[in-house]
Amino acid sequence: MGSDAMQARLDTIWEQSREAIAARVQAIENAAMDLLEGNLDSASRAHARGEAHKLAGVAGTFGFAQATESAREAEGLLNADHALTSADVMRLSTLAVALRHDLVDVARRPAAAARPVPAVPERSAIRVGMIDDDPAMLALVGALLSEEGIRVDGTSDPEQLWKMLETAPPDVLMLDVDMPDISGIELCQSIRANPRWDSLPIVFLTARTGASVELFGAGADNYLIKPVAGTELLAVIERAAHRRRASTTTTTTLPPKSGGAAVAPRAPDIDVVIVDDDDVLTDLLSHSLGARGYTTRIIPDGSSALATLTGAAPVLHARVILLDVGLPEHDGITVLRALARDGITRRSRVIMLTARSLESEVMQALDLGAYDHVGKPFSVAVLMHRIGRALGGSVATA
Amino acid sequence: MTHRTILIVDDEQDIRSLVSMSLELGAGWTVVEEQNGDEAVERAAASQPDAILLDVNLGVRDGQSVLADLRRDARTTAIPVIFLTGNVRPAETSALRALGAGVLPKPFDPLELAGLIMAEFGWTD
Repeated sequence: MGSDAMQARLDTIWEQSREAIAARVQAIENAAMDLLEGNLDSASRAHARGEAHKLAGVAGTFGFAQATESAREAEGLLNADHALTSADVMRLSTLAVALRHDLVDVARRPAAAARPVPAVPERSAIRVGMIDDDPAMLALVGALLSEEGIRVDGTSDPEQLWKMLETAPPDVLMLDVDMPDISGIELCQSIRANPRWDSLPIVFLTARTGASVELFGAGADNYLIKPVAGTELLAVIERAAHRRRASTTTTTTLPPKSGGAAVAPRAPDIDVVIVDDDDVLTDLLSHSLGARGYTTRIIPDGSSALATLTGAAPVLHARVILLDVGLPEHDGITVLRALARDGITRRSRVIMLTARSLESEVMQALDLGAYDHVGKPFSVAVLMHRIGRALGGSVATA
Repeated sequence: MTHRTILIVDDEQDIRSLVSMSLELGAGWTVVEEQNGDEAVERAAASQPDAILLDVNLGVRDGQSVLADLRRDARTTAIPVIFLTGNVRPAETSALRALGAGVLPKPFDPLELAGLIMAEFGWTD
């Protein structure tokens, strides 16, 4: 299995691939530049499109999920049958900057096995949407924030903004107040009128002073007066993004719970509780699942498992319990028996991890109400599939 | 797990390396690499893999024509093929599936590649 070994090899392959990846980013940048100057020939465009396609395929495999999205979008824009508007050209430049930031300027690959699921979003995870009729302002804010690792999708076109809200809603939206086609205040009111964007943090950027009542009345969360200082801008954006994450972390998208009667309010469900004393294994599983948006909890021994998972009112409720048979203190079968006794095997799916895969042991576990068993040593990929099935969805494609 | 041999046909070195690493370390399988679509049939005939991962966009030629070559040759006609593709639009993936091959999207998670291949073919061990 050797996930550490895999991470180390991934790092090596990444180092070997960096030059080629930088060249691909460069091709997209060149295309964006040529488009801005109005002279991109079709061969260069096709070349850049091909490079974007390859980047989309490989970046995510190295762990750069955001870069794959950016590259895919760039590929779409560079497609020959797509007529480019000036907003598209600006978007392509933004994507090229984002790709350089994500893939070329990075010191190293995001190591899956060393990536905690952040409670507070890292700056690099924050995405800011921005509309301003002044391209210089878009460029300035983009530069200020991207220096801090925050991604800015800027546009001057209200239509683009609606598209962005539909397809890739940002963590924070920055609105200019005075724009030729529509005022930022009207825009803010329209956004707030839709319940979907009710909790989207909106920050105004305005040259006017004394407009605060009007801005807050329209649904703004905050505002900044131009000219704006970088530190103040950063602080306001981070605070807004943080508030947004805090209010949305409880609504992760998971496969629906299957059946089950309504239960009185109780502790929130953990998706996967891992009961195993092998901390390398538990770390790996917890990060793999965490990276897919699932909540996990690790319990290292049998008595802690009994204390937290069993009883009439357990401390933890799990959708899936991975239960090692060979646990210290109380073994997995003892824990399973207690889970069955308390009716927990009826609402949680227990996957037994058996070292010896003895038929008698497996049969005993299944008789006691285990949902599935996986013999050690197992492939992580296979285990992920089994967990996915137990969760009622596919972890692999989540 | 059953030991398996997989042939990866892709013109990109980084993808070949990633596939090899994922399957060798993730599942203990053997991976044979080939970068040239024109050589794919001979390579498959010689190595007789359990499955072939075939890039759709091989630079000079496409994966679909390589699949046709594989199917025409008696030595390789029965070897299951999965296309590896960055095109994730349903219409495109179903067009590929209609050719009698599986489809795996790029990017993929190295930890899961073996499991995805197994799921594609219904291999259970």
